[in-house]
Amino acid sequence: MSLSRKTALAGVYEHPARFAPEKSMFQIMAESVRGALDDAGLRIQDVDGVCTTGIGMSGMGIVGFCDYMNLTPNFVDSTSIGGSSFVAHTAHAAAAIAAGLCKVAVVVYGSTAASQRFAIGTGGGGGGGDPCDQYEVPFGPTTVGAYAMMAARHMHEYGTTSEQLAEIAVTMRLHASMNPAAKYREPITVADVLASRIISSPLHLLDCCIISDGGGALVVTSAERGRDLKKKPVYILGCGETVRHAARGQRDFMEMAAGQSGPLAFERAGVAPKDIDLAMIYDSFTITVLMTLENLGFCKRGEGGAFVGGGRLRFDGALPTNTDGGGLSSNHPGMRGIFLVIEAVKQLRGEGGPRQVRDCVLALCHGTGGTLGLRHSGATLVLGNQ
Amino acid sequence: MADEKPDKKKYAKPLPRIDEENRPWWEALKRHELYIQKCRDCGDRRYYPRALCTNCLSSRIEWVRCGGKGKVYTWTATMQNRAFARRCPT
Repeated sequence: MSLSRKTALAGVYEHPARFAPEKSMFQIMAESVRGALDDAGLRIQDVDGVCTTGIGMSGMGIVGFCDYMNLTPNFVDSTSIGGSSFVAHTAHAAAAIAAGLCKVAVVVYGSTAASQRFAIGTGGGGGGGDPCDQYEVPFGPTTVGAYAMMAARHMHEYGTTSEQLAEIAVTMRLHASMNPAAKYREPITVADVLASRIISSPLHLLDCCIISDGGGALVVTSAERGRDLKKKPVYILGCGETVRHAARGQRDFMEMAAGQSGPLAFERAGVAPKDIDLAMIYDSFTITVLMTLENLGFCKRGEGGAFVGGGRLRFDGALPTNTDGGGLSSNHPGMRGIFLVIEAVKQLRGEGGPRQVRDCVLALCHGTGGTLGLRHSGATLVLGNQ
Repeated sequence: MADEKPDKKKYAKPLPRIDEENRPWWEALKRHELYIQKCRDCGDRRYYPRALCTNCLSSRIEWVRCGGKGKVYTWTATMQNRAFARRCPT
């Protein structure tokens, strides 16, 4: 019983805001839903499925948002596994639609992390209050520190360099310079990245994602319905999701959730990494992109450093990656999984403008949620326009 | 430490919640001893302390004292940490 090609993304919208102190999270979300429904040519009355979560949103936030929008859906999903949540929501919405649980699902995200000054990466001290946190929190780990430890280990095991990581940041900024909505658009060089201050060794400021306000929404429908709507549908071809953690203390931390969710998605879509025209890879940090590309099978484990060099990830390179400018330069309100899907849909429709990927037929979206080095989630989607 | 109410003026860092699953772990640490758990049924070893074996779900637990040697797997020096700001370098 395959999900492939049974559902489609019929509408997408990325909220243009990057700093919006006058807007609440729900307003950003509602404006995003409106934008995505307009894009699809649908009305709010057509929506019978809602998927959302967010930092700064309570566990019951989805119910609060349905209240705000006066929605009483037949399908709700507030899977909250970090920034990858929205990639997983898209897959879950597809499964729900294919199973007849709902007909039109919106996946939506919004956040005012920047104007509320959330110290997402460097806060320390918190933890989620789960029983596992008590063994870690007293030592003051930070999100950036944990990712940095993975970068340090990758350098130790494979000889990966800061220069190689910096290439990723440089390409993301190049793409952002072609994206009018991106927060940071001034081109940077490898030297600029290495000269930026160390946040947690070996990661520099420019190895780390930005913090912005922002949001977005997606509309998922059946493939048949998608073909009747305003724009060419983008089909959901394959999906996969899983988690990784400390594995009761026996773990190769260079292995990511992507190593399991990716093969699942590829197999279900009936394609391989070499078939992918666009990779939308969660870029919380440069190391996240590098390790994800290895774990998804675009290159061998340990070869990521060489793989990301020479402009390979450019919009006009061999594996266009994060053509919107990513979380490293365009948009990162705390969780950025929804933007992976939005940009993929735009590219597959031919709406990429100056950063359009030539012959873009198949795209892969991979979200990494949570913290490499502690515990994280991975959710992968393969999307196509045929 | 374990069952006493912390004096908030003296100790401001997060404290664990002591329960039947982790009490031996924290009490051993007070003696400066490191123990991990081993399942009495299947032999699987694990850290952090759990009440059930993650391999066979057994509740029968043996505590095994660590030898005292370890390897640093990785490390980082964090320059920016809001909650632990006073502990940051510079």
